[in-house]
Amino acid sequence: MGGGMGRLLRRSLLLGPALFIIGFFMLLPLFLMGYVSILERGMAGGVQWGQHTVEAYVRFLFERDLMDNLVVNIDYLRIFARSFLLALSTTIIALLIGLPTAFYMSLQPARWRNLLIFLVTIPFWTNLLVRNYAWILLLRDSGLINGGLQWLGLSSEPIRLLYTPFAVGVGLTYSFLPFMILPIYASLEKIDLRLVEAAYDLGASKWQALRRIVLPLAMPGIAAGSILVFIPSLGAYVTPELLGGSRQLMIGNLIQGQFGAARNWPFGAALAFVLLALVLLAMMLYARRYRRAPGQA
Amino acid sequence: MLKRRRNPLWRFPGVAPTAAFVFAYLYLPIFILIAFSFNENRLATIWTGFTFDWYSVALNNSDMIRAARNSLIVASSATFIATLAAIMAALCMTRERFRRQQAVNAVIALPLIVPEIVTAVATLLFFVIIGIRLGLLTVIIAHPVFSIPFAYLPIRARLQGMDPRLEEAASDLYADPWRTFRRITLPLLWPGILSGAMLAFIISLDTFVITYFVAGAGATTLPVYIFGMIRIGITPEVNAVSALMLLISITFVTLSFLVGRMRR
Amino acid sequence: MQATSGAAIETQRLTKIFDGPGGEVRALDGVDLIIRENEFFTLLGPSGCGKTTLLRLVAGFEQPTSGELLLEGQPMAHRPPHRRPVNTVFQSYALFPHMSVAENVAFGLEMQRTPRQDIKARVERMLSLVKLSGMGERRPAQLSGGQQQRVALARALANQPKVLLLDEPLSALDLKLRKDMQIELKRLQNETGITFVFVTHDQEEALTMSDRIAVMNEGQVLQVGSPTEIYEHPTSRFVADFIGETNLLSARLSRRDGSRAIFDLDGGGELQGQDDGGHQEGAAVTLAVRPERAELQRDGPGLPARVEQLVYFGTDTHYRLRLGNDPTPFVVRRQNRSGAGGGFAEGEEVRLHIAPDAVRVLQD
Repeated sequence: MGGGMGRLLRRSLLLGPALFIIGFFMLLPLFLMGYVSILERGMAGGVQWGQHTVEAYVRFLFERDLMDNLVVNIDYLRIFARSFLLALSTTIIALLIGLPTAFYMSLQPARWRNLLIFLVTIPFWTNLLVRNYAWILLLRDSGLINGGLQWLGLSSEPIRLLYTPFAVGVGLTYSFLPFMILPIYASLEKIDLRLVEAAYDLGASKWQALRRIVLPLAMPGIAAGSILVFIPSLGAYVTPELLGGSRQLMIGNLIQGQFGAARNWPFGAALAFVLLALVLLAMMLYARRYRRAPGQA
Repeated sequence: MLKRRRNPLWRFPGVAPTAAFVFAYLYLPIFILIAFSFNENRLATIWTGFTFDWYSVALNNSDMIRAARNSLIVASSATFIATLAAIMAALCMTRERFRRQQAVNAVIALPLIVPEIVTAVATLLFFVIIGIRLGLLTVIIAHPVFSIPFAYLPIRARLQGMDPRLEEAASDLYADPWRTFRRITLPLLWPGILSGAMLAFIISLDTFVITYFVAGAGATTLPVYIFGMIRIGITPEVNAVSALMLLISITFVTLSFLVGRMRR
Repeated sequence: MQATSGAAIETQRLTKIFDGPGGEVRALDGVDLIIRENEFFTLLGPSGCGKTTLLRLVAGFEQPTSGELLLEGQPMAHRPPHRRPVNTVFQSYALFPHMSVAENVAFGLEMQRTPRQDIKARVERMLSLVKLSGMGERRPAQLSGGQQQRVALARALANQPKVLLLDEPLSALDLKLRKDMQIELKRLQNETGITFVFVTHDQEEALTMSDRIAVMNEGQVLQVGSPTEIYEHPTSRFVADFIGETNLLSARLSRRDGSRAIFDLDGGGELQGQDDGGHQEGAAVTLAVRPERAELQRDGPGLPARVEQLVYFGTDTHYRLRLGNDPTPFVVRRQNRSGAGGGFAEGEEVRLHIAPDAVRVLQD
C-alpha cells in the first residue's frame, strides 16, 4: 500500500461507514434536538420553525399564571429530584449486593467463574420489557409475592407493591444489576493476591486487608459499575412506565409525554437535552478520575 | 496460580449468601415468567395445569406474527449494516496507530453512553426535520446506530488477539492486501464476526424505546407490540409471547458466547 | 542513486524515525550497507540497536523515513512487501494456525499462481529439505517449537527468493536445538546459494555462522567485516566490548619507533602496539587486548601485576589482575595445559606480557 496519502484514504474508507452512521444519525440529531428546544411550540404539536424562544427552559422552573406572570413551579424539579434519588438509591443497592457477588465470583475456580459470568450476562441480553413485565406478575396485588405472603400467613390483605417507588427501585436494580457486577468482577480479577498476602504477613486482619487493599484496588471497577447503573437509571423509561404507573414519573416518562399527549416538543427536547447534559457531566467526571488509559471503547 | 479459593483467609461472612440471593433475584422472575406461560389458569397466580394453549394463541395472532416479521426484517438489516461497518472500523483501529484514535473510540461508544430516550427523541426530530414519514424504513435507519458498538467490541477484541505478524507473513508471501484479508484475516476473525453479529441482532431485536418513537403505523416490532399488550392488560398470552422472546434471546446469547470462545 | 554491482541488497543513508510517546526515536540513522549475493550476512547488536528495523525495512513492513533501499539494483523503498523478491522467517514463526503444514509451505507459491502439481512437488521437496517429510497434514499447533521453526523456513525457501531474511529465528529454541539449527542453516545457505540476512543479539552465533557481520548500535552500523576481522580488529570501543571479552586500557601515544608505537598506560607502564598512523604523539587512545592474547609469567620483562582473583573454568582459568594504578581488573585467560596445577596463586606478583600485535588501537 502506497505512501501517506494512500494510507489516509484507506483509513477514511474503513472508518467511514461507522463514523458516518453514528455521526449522521446520532450526533447530528442530538444537535438538532438542542436546536428544537429553543423553538416555539406548534399549535397542535410539532414546532414553529424560525420562531425562537427559551420558553421551554423557562418551563422547567416556572409557569405562567392567568395574568401571564411567572410563578415558580416545582413540579418538574420534583420529577428530576425523584429520578435522581431513584437512580442514586438503585446504584447504592446494586453496589451493596453486587460487590459481594462479584467478590464471590472472583474466588471461584476458573471453570465456575466462566459459568457465573455467563449467568450474570444473560439477563442483560434479554428484553428489558419482558423482564420488567415479569415483575408486574410478581408485584401486583394478585401477584406471586402477595400470594406467597398470604399463603404463609404473613398478611391477610394484599400489600400495595406495584406502582410504588419501591417497585420502580426493584425494577431498576433488576434491570441494571449485571452492569454493576461485571466491571467490579473484572477489577477484582486483576488484583494480585500476593499484595493481600503481604498485608496479612504484615499483621493485617481480614477486614483490614479488605478495606485497605482489596477495596481501593477494586475502585476502578466500582466506579465503572456505578456509572453504568446510574446513567441508564436516570434516563429510564420502561421500568417507571410499567412498574411506576402515573404517579411515579421519572424524567424518561416526562419526556415521552411531551411527544405524546402533552404535545410540547420543544419542552420535550429541552428535557432530553438537560438529561443528556447531566449524563455527559457524569461521564466526564468519571473519565477524568478513572480513565487514564487510552483507546478503550 | 495461588489456591485462593479453598483458603479460609478468603472466607468473609455474608458473601456467599448475598451471591446466592443475587443469582436468585436475577433468575426468579425469568423462571416464573416462563413457568406461568404454561399455566392453564388465566389468573397467573394460581397454577391449575400445564398447557401449550397460550403459545398457540400467541402464534396464531396475526398482529403478533406481523410484528415478529418486522422485528426480523429490522434486526437482520441492522445486523448486516452494523457488522460490516464494525469490521471495517475494527480493522482500521487495531492495525494502525494514529492520532485521534481516542476521538474515534468516543464516537463509536457514543450510542452506549447516551440514554435511549434521548436518542429516541433526537432521532424522531431528525426524521421530522428531514421530512421522512415514520414507518418501517425509519426504524431500519435508526437501528444500526446503536448496534454498531455491540458488533464492534467482540470483533475488535478478536483482532487484537490476533498476531499481526500473520498478516505480515502473508504479505511477505506475495499476498496482496485483499487476498491477505480473505485468506488469513477473515478466517481467523470469523468467530468474532459471528459473535458481534449475534449481539447486534439481539440488541436490535430487544430495542423498545427508540422503535417506539420512530415507528410509524404498520411498523410495529415485537417489543412495541408486547408493550401495547401489557398496556391493555395482563393476559396469559402476554406471558407466552414474553417467554418466547426470552427463550430466543437466551438462545442467541448462548450461541454467541460459545462461538466467541471458539479458538480456530 | 548509483547501485553497486554484485550487491544483493544495498542501503544508502537509510533512516527510519518513529514517533514515540517520549518523542522521536531514531531507529536507523543514515545506514550505508552492502550485502553481497550468496552471502550469509548477520546483523548483530543489542536490543534496540535497529537491526530488526533494518530487516523490516528490507522486507517492506516499514517504510523508510529517508534514504534508498536497493534490491539487486532496483529501488525498493516504496514497494509493498508482496511485490518484493524477499521472504522472511519470523521470530515467532507466524505460521497460519488455520492451515496445515503443507498449506503453509504452499502459500507463497499459491499466491504466485503456480500450477497445482508444481506446488505439490515443491512442497514435498521443501519438507524433506528441512527434514519434516510426512508432516504435511499436521497443524502448526501440533508441532514442537523446533519443528515449527523448520516449517517457517520451508515456507520461506519454497519461493526461491533472492534474499532470505531471518529475524532471530533461533532465540526461542533450547541450546542443543539451537546449535543443531545453526549448522542446518549454514548448510542450507551453502546449498541453495540464497543470500541470508540473519539478525541476532548473540555474538557467538554471529561469529560461528556468518560470512560477514555488521555490528550495530543505536541505529548505526559501527563495523562490517568477517568474523575474524570483527573479533581480531575491532575499530571501536563498543565493538571490542560487545564481541567476546576485551580488556580496555586508557593510554597516551608516547612516541613512534619504526613501525611500532609506544603507549604510556594511564595506570602506569608502557606497551608496544601497531602503529596505525592515525594518532598524534601525546594523543589519548583506548587500547584493546583480548584476555587470551596476554601471557603471564613469574618474572622477566613485562608489566608488573598482582593476581587478585582466579576463576577456574575447567578448560581454562581466568586471572583477574591488578595492573599498576588501574582500578579495572585486567583479565587473562590461560589454558590449563598442565592440568589444574602450574598456575598462579592469589596474591602472587606476576609479569604481564602482551605481544605488540595483540594490542589494538581503537578509534574512539
